[in-house]
This record gives sequence, C-alpha cells and structure tokens, in this order.
Amino acid sequence: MNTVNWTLWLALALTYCILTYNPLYQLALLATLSTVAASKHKPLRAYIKIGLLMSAIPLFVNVFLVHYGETTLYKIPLSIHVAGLRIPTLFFAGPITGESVLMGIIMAVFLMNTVIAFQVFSSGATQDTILAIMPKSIPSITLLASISLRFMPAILRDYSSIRDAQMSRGIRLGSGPTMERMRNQAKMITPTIVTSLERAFNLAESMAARGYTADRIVYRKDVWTLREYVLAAATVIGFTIALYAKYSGLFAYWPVDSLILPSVSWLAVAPLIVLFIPLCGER
Amino acid sequence: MNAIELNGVSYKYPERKEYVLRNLNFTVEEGQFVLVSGPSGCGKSTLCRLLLGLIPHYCGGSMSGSVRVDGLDTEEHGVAELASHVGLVFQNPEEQIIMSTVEAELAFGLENMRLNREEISRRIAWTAERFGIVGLLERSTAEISGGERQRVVLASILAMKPRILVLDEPTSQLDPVGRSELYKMLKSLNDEGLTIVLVEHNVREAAPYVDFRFDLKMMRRESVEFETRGVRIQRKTQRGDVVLDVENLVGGYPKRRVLDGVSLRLRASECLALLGANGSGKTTLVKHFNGLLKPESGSIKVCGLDVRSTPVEVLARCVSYLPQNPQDMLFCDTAEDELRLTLKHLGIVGDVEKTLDRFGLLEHRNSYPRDLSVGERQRLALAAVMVSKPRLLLLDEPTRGMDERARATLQEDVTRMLGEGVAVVLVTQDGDLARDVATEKVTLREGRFES
Repeated sequence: MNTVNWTLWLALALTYCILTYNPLYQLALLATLSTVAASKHKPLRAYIKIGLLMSAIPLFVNVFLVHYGETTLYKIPLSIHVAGLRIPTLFFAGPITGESVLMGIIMAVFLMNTVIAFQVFSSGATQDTILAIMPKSIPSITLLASISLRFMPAILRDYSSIRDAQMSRGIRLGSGPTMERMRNQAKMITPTIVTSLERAFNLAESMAARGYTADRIVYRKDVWTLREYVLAAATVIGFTIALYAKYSGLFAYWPVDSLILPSVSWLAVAPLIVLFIPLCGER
Repeated sequence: MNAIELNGVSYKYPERKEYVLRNLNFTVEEGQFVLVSGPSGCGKSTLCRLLLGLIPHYCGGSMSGSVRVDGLDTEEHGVAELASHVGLVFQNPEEQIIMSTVEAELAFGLENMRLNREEISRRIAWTAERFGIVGLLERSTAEISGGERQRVVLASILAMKPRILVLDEPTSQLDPVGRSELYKMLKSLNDEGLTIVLVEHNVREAAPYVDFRFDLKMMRRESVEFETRGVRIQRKTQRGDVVLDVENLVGGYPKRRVLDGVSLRLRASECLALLGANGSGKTTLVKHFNGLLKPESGSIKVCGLDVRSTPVEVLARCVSYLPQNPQDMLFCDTAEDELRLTLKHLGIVGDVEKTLDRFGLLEHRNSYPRDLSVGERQRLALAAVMVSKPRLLLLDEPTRGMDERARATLQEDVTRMLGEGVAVVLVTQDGDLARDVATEKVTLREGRFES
C-alpha cells in the first residue's frame, strides 16, 4: 500500500473514532485495529503501555470528578475520617455514577484506538515517504511533521537511558514505597522531554546543514498501480458511509443523563471492513 | 585562493553574556587539511556552525566580522546554498541520520539540491561504491552499526560534492580501527583536492594526516609535532579485597544474548580496562555489574552483594556508573545540585565544593548543566558520580569529547581513586588511557574475552 493510501487509512480510522460515543462501535474499532496491528508483527507492548497510561486519565477524571447522571453507584462523602482526623474529599465528594463510569470507559477505548491506529500507520508508512507527500507550500509544517514523526520513538529510547543513569545514582524507580517511586518517575519526565527536544533541535540543524528545503525533488515516488487506485476508492467509500451514518443519526449515543442501551446498525459498521485493507497483502 | 577566510569574527549565542569567539582570524587555502584543536568550550563547534552559515542564519545570536567560504559571504548566502559548497559532519552520527533507509539518507541532500533523478541515482551509486556501503543501501538506518552510521553520514554529505568538508569531532564514538580508517579516508579525499577542517581532541592520532594545526584557544597555528602524550603515573599495586566477582556470565537483552561465558575478578585498587570494537558488548557487560541488567545465567557479586537479587538502588551505594552519554545524568537546575542529588539519594555526606574544584567546574557551580559544553557536561557527570566515593567505579567511555586537560584530570582522578582503594572498570577506545591507568586489559569480542 502506498503512503497516500496509508494516510487515507489513518484518516478513516481516526474519523470513525471521533464520530461516535457508541461503546459497541468503539469496541468493534478496537478489535479491528488490534487485528490489523497483530498482523503487522510490530512490537505493541510499549504502545499499549502508553495507551493504557493515557486512558487512565479520562477514566479517573470521569469516574471521580464527573458526578453527572442518574444512576448512583456510590457516594463519596464530603470528608472521611482517618485515624481520628477529618480529611475533606474536596472535588471528589459526590456520587460516582454509572453514566460517568461508562463515559470514562468509552474515552479510554477512544484513546487506545487512536494510539493503535498511529502504530499501524507507522508500520506501513515510513517517515521518508510521509515527508515526500507533505505539502511543499508550507515548509514549516513539513519540517515539523518530519521531526514529530521521530519524536515518540526517540522519547522512549531517551527515557530508558535516563532511567538507567538515574537508578545508578541511587534514585528509587524499581523498588521502594509506591509513592516515592511515582514521585521519582515523575522527575524523569522533564529531563526526558528536554533531551528529546535537544535531539529534535540537533536533527533540525542536521537537516539545515544538508540544505533542507520543502521545495525538493522526491527521489523515490509513491507508485500508483490499479490496486492502489482501488484501495483509495474503497477508503473514500468508507469515508462516505461513515459521514452518512453520522449525519443520519446512526452513530448517535449520549449516555450522560441516563444509561441507555446502544443500538447497532450494520451500515455504520461497514467502514470497519475497509480498515482491514492492510491485510490484503503487502505492496 | 583561500577556501575559508574569517576576519575579525566575534560571536555570542542568544541570551548569553559571554562571547564564544572574539576577533578570530582564520584562513585555510584550497586543498589544505587543517586540524582545529582547543579545550572544551573554546568555540570549536561554534566555528563549524559559522563555516556553514548556521550562524547567524539558524542559531541567531550576535556576530561581527566576516566569514567567506568558497568565495561566498555566509551572511549574504543562505544555508541551503552554502550546503552545496560546505559539508558539515556533526559530533553524533545518531542525531544526523534523517531518513529511514541508507539509500534515502544518501539521496536526502541531493533531493534538496533539486538534482534530477538520474543524477541522484548516479551520485548514490558513486558514493556508495566510494565508501564501501553498496551492501547497506537497502538497510534501515536504525539497524546499522555505529561505524557504518558514521560512514553513511559522511557519504551522504560528500554525495553533495562540497568543495570544503568540516568535521566536528567525528571520531568520538569510533573504536581505534574505525578512527584510523576515517583518517585515511579523509586523507585520500584531501589528496583528491577536498579542503578539510577537522575539529578533534585526539590531536596525536590525527596529526600525521594534516597540513597544520590551529589552536582555537590561542588563535594561532601550532606545530603538528607532538610529544608522547602523558606520563605513566607510577602507582604501588596493592592487593585488596575482591570487589567484583563474575563467574561464567551469560546475559544480554530479553531477545538478544550478548555475553557468553564471561568470568573475571577485580580487587580493590585494581583497574580493568575493557577494550573491544563498537558493538562487542562492553556496555552490556558493565550494565550487569550494577544490576541494570540481570544475568541469564552465571553469577555476579559486587562488594559481596549478589547482583541478581539486589536492587540497583542498593547496589548504587557501593558501585557508581558513568554512562556513555553524560546528558542522561544531568537533570538538576545547577551543577552543584547534581552532586548534592547523588549524595542525597545515597544518604551519604561528601565534599561538593572540593569535587567541583577537582574537575575544574567550580566557576560553573551555579550554571544550568545543559548550558555547559560537551566536555564540561562530561566532567560534571563524572563529578556527580565520583562525589559518592564508590568502592567500584564503572566508567563507560569517559574521555569521549574530552580535551587533553580534562583527560589528564580524569587520569589523575582515577589514579588517585585507585590509590584510595577503589576498583575501576574502564570501558574505553582510548588505548593510551588504558595503558596509563589500567592494571589489566581485556578485549571483548563477540561476547567473550579474547584470549
């Protein structure tokens, strides 16, 4: 599959993800993307970790801070008593509702879908080919995209090295009380980001040193065979169906006020079939 | 005709008070091979950036004087135009690889020059042949070795056929064989007419290949004749307690075994120099000594503690490790705080001021560590490790990017620590350092010690 088709594929996956809060569609999308990701034999562990970490935030916020909905599961009091002390629960005080739990889960799956979609995309489209299809009229966007594509893998590598170096100085990251480990882990964030930014700056300087310009020749161009045109057409059809489903209300689901059962329309599921395209053989 | 002409150049980086270069005059004739040396922080990398016009176009800052390269004034011509006249190889090849395959990497500069595809194809074929990387063309740049990466970076720049080549410490990550190969390659390119400016700490090894040396600190030409470096410091060898005991170690990473049956014993006051080519497993081995990696089989005891069952943080009280990249150590707001952090986490008391002074960093005690030069950062990371006075010190390529003075300081420090009963494992490509401080030298090849 060429890079334009990979980009269309990613756009369809993300659009589908954004268009609906229906948990059944989100789960069906998760199953689809996971199947495609598994077929690419890419090491998914690190990305799943990131996805789970990211997902934990909306889950936590929705469950403990959003007290909206009519199905109360548990009520957090205004204060709790620990060892004779009265501790106010502040923003946490209020009901934990079935609606907020459900929205938290939907948002968590939404984020997992986003992470996996990008992981699958990166297995097919390389940074070189993406750079080649970037618009030449906006050089800063092209440069930014090029550096961003290298940013995540570089952050993971840098984090690992910094973690090793700091553990060697006696900083507890792998053992000791959980709170201390979490505090120490948090301290790793700034040097990791600073190191990665420095790396990004050095890379940009290297590109400048080799005369980088957005208005450049592309040595290896994307190949457009009949198969590529068919795949592109299929993805566009997938888009059309997804948009039709959205505007005809097939994706509608809003469980904020009360818990309602999600419905399923086969037409709304159809775009997911197109997302299996990467399984149709390598280019 | 002069290929390079700097007249009265002064420069300071944005938001800095001090000028890095003051009134610099520097001339190189066409076809000359020049070695630029000087202590860390004297402005060597800044000079490289000036020659390509990255200063002032890319870095900003305040500049006076004029820089002409290949007849072009760098203030009047943009970096993209200058890049086809001057090729610049930076220190770290890792950070210069832009594309994901070797072929795409070679093509990158040529695409920017807007050459037609036939010409790009011809130049890729020529460069790949010239640098012996034909077999690598289809390979991913992430998978090739450090030495190969250095060659690819150099090839990708020379594919643009610049008339001047500037290299900023290109050998800092190469083993002795790689360094020698690179110097010979540069000499052969110079014989073909390429003007070369080589910034290098390792002046003794580079000297035989160059026409003259320019000392950037003194701002003058120097002789290329050098005395034998360093005087071996005489030390009384005393046999102390066993600090490190490794028995038949097999280990590496979850999906890749690197070490295959390594055994060694190191006593207090002994220094083991660990030599070997890039990728031979030296760093992997020392990471087993402080518990960052756990053995697959075999045993390692450090200060009597079993590495397999002791957390890294506990081992850190008796073994200190200086990683290859000093940046990874530094994350405090000041140099002084870096040393205090080590002491705090290890729960010990140490003399921060004295240690900073010993490493020539006292004047930088309140500086932000990442604002220091490469050599100064290396020294700070070393100071942050040494302040804890460990019983076993693991140094992974400690002289990388260091100037002669800092290297001599390191040598004195290691020698002093050995005298105080510390055992040292020294991973190095620096044969002279190994000769001067080590009590024993071993070479690692394919996960085993060479007999």
